[in-house]
Amino acid sequence: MKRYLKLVNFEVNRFLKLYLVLLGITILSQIIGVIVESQAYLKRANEVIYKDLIPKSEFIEQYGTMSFINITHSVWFTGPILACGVVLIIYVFFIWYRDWFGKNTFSYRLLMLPTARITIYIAKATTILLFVLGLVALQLLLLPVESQVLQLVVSSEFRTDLPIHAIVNSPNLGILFPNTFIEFVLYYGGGMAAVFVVFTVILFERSFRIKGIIYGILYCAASLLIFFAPLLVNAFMLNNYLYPRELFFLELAAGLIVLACAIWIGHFLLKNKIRV
Amino acid sequence: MRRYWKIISICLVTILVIGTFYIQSSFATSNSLNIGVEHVTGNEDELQNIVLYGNFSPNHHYLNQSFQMTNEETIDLTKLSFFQRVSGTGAPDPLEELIEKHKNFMRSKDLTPNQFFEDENAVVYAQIKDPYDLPVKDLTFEIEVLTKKSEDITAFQVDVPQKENYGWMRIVDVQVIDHELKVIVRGERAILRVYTFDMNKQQLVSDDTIASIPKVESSGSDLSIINDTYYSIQRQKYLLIKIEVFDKDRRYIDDIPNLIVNEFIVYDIENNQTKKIVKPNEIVESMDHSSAVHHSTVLIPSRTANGVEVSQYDIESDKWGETLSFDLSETKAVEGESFTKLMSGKLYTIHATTSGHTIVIGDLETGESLYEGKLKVTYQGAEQKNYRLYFHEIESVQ
Repeated sequence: MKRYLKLVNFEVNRFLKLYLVLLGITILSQIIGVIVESQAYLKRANEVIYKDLIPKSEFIEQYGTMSFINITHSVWFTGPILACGVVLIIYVFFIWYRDWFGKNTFSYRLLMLPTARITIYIAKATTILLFVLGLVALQLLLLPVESQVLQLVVSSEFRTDLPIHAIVNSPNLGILFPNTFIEFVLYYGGGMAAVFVVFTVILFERSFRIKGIIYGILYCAASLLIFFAPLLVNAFMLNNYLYPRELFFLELAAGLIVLACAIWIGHFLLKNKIRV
Repeated sequence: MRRYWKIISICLVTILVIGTFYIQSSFATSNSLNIGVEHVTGNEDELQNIVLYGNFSPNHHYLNQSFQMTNEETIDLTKLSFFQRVSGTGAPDPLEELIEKHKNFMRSKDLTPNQFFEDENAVVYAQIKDPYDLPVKDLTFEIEVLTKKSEDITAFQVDVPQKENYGWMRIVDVQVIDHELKVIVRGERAILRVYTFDMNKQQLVSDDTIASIPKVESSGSDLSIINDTYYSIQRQKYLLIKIEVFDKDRRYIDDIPNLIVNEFIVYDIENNQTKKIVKPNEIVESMDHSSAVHHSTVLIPSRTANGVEVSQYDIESDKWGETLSFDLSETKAVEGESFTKLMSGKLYTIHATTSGHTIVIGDLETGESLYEGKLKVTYQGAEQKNYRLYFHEIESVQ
């Protein structure tokens, strides 16, 4: 346990600076976005009301009121979320390859640690999970702050205040925050299973190099096939025999099998096949 | 432990924030939208056993919330719990019930109610195999019958006669009358046909055309069933068919085509007879999908300045009866936001007026108003004045 914590701490520290930069960009860009979008709305309101001489109520009728949903459609808001996502996806690869291609023979030292090698694998995955959930939490903390900023800029007659749970249900944010906690666990659990599969693909490549890429692709295809097997079999062989609830539990089982296989194969490769 | 403060703090903040969010939203969602009915006149018991379905947008906002309401509660349909959504089959209500009772029989079926029929003895399902697969060479009826007493399932297949004439076929209704199964099918070139099967011999007995539209060059046409057969799996005596022919094809030409034929036909399923409704002109306009057949009377609701009028046409005697009128106490109506449904001998209508929405329930046999109420909308704990509310379905539940 102590070794595991040490490794997680080590991995977190290695990425922390870049991570803080990502957090900073998100905070800045989204708050600027709230101000810019609100100003643009007010400017349009001014033009329509004072230049085109259309009454206020008619303007609201035509253009709608300003609410946080309008903000979530802007690039200022979605841009940093996408950027963080992309950086974290790249880091899923980088977290392994930096040990091989970084200074000195770091991978050699890491693999020689007096601990089960699977701990390294789990520690790296934990790091990714922590970073992802950290960003999700940041977004949740930012929403009330940004709502306050919106209230400062736009007067109440042009504004519809929405509670946080209504904002996160908007199409853009709904992906980050599923409706219920069970779905949250399922979606992010599914994401982590995908991270484990990618980790194992990387270990295939690190174990067998060029040949490993082919093994990795085959392994990846097999994992996808196992994961989607219940859906495919139900649609093409069973003529939609299963009801949604039955299909859900089969999918859950298939997901757990894929996850268990990824960890087991990863463990096997790290223990027996890995090259430095 | 001190050296791990960074990961410990990331963990703590994350768990606290995400945990609080989900705990809060589970409390918040249950009461964000509430629509109550304030009694104006009549018997409040009329509101029991009905469910209204609609959409709500607050304060000129494009946030759109679909809900279902009874006189006791409003349920936000976007906020059902995960297991509520997974355990549902997505099938319309009458089929949900069938799935609960006959789980295995209902597997691998198209879950559209008009392909099913249920009475006290049996559940019958009909489908046309691969209607969309081209080239159509396999247009085949597949019929399955579940006998309720013995729980036996019998299935048989019959080729569609003259199937080479059809590019596609869709089942409109399935009915069983004394061991005779009638499958009513809408086919290519706006044709409506009935195929009658002997269920004991598992054979096709006869096939007849109920209605068809003669092909007119460069015109558009439409044939539709206007009394609600889609959600019904019970016995029905009549189908109400609307035939429209336009002088231009609606699909290709931008300017509005003129209606050159607008006919209504009543089809008596049991006796396999059709009858054209000869109607006064003013009723033509209002005859749409809210029209219904009750016993042997066609009921056609229409909006008037004071409320709703229902024209009555008796199929058997071929006569127009007295027009029923249901007046509203508030008549300043808002365009386009009303919904009317005729169901089990009653009229249900919801009108948007300048001071909110009014619901009226009327008796179609006596022409009396049974209940009138005003809808009171609260959203996030505050009573709402500016909002949009649309209703699209009213169902009765037992």
